[in-house]
Formats: sequence, C-alpha cells, structure tokens
Amino acid sequence: MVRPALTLTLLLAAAVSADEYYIYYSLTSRDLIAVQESLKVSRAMTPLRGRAEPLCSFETDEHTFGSFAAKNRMKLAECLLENSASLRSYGDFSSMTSQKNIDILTTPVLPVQVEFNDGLVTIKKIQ
Amino acid sequence: MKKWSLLALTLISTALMAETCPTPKVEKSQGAESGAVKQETIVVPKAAISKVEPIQAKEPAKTGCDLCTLSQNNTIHFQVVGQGVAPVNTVSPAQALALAKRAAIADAYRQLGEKICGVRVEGRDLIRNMMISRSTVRTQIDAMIKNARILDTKFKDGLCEVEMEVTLNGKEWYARLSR
Repeated sequence: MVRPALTLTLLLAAAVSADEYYIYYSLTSRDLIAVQESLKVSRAMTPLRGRAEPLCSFETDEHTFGSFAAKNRMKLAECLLENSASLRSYGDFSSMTSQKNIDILTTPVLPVQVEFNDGLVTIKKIQ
Repeated sequence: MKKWSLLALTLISTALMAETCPTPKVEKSQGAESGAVKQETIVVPKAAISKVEPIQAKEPAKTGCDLCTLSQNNTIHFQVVGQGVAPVNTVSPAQALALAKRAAIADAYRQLGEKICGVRVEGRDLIRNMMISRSTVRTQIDAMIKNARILDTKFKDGLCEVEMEVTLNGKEWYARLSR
C-alpha cells in the first residue's frame, strides 16, 4: 500500500522539479560551408514564470540536459530553428573577385523548461 | 421591267433582314395619347435576353497568380531546396554530413528570407578614364522566420540538399506583410 503512494509522490516530485534553462543557438555559413556553430545552454538562476508550451520531445538515455544537448546538438538546433530563426545574409558579387556569401542564423535566447521522464526528454517553451 | 424586279428583290431582302434581326420596339405609354408627359419605353426582344448568360453564376477562374499572391483568404506555401557543402578538413564522414546539413539549412533559410522578406541590393560601379574598372553588387537580407519545416534531406557526393517549407496564412500574415 505504501509503495504506490511513494511512486506517485516521486513521479509528482519529478514532474514538479523540471529544470529551467536559457538556450541560444548560432550558425555561420560562408559560401555554403558551415564555419562556426555555437549552442549555449544556461540554467536559469531564478524560477521562470509563464505558460509552458511543448516545443519538442526526444527519446534519450541521458539524465541531464547538459549531456543531452552535447550529444544531440543537431536535433536540438533543428527544434530551436523551427520555432524561430533570425537570418542575416550578406552577398558580394564583384567583377574582380569571385562571389562571396555569408549567412548568419541565430535563434533568440529562449527560456525553456526541460523534463526528463522515463527515457523521454520534453522541452517546453516558456511564454 | 428590270427596275421592277430589282425593287421587288430589295423589298424581299429587307423583309427577311427585319425578321432575322429583331429591333427593339418602341411602345408608347398610356399617358401619351391623353396629352400628358411623353414617355417612351424600350422593349428588348425576348430572344436577345435569353442569349445573355448570367454573370453571377460564373466563378472567377483561378489563375497561377491567384495561387502565388498572398491575400486575406488564402494560404501559400514557400518551398525551397538549400544546398550545403562539407568542408575538406573533417575528421569523419559523419561530421562532414552534419556540417554540410547545417550549411544547407542556412542556405534554405536564406532562400526563404529572400522570398518572403526581400533583398536589399546595393550596386557600385567605379569608372576610371571612361571605363568601368570595378563593378560590385552587394546584397543583404534581414529576416525572421518562424515555423519552417524540414521536409527532406539528401546527401550525395559531399553535397547536402535540404528541402524546407514555410506556410503563410493570409489571415494572420497579410496585414503585417502588406504594410
């Protein structure tokens, strides 16, 4: 009788103690070659208030968001870019030199709530 | 004798033309006889009315331009294919694929930005001794793109192609983009 109650309490505690982070992603590409990429994850120092909307979810064996982000950088980047992406592109076409093109793709700093539950990580956007 | 036959032929042809081409009849209103204000009503023959097709029943034909121009009532899809090249100095083929895919995504976003938000173009020509010595064209795109979906990814011979799509709903975006 005690065990189900304990499990329920643990589950509720796990759901309640979802961690909150700020995520930022940037990608620079020059002449169709990716030259620089950065994914920055920072834990929120103060609790974030707002409505959380599901952004994406992945299956994983990791238990911390840092290790998950390090191993699944591309998946996370695609998820963030799909939500919102700011683009700056500069092209230079000259008769003397060949064509140059620089694309800078950045996502705004996004406050998210991350939940790990039974091999599934759920990322929720806080609005 | 010839004159009479010609006259008869002319009369017959005139009568036939009058039958085939009905002219509007002019009816005099009742007040005209009694000396009131004269009113004339033109009555169009019924045969002519029956030939006219109702305009409201026809739907406006959808042309290619209707489908590609955003309005308040339609939704348009922007679909692009971005290309990315793997750098030469990569550690493994997997890293090459990942980097090529990132570059392809950036290229696809650039194409979407070009289509949706437009391109700022700046051209400069340097003329020296009556001759163009340098010609430069600079382009700049500044855009914010939301909800772009990756549909397909292909990787072949060091070139990665990413097919990407954005859907623009006229109800939401027409007012903002038409400013």
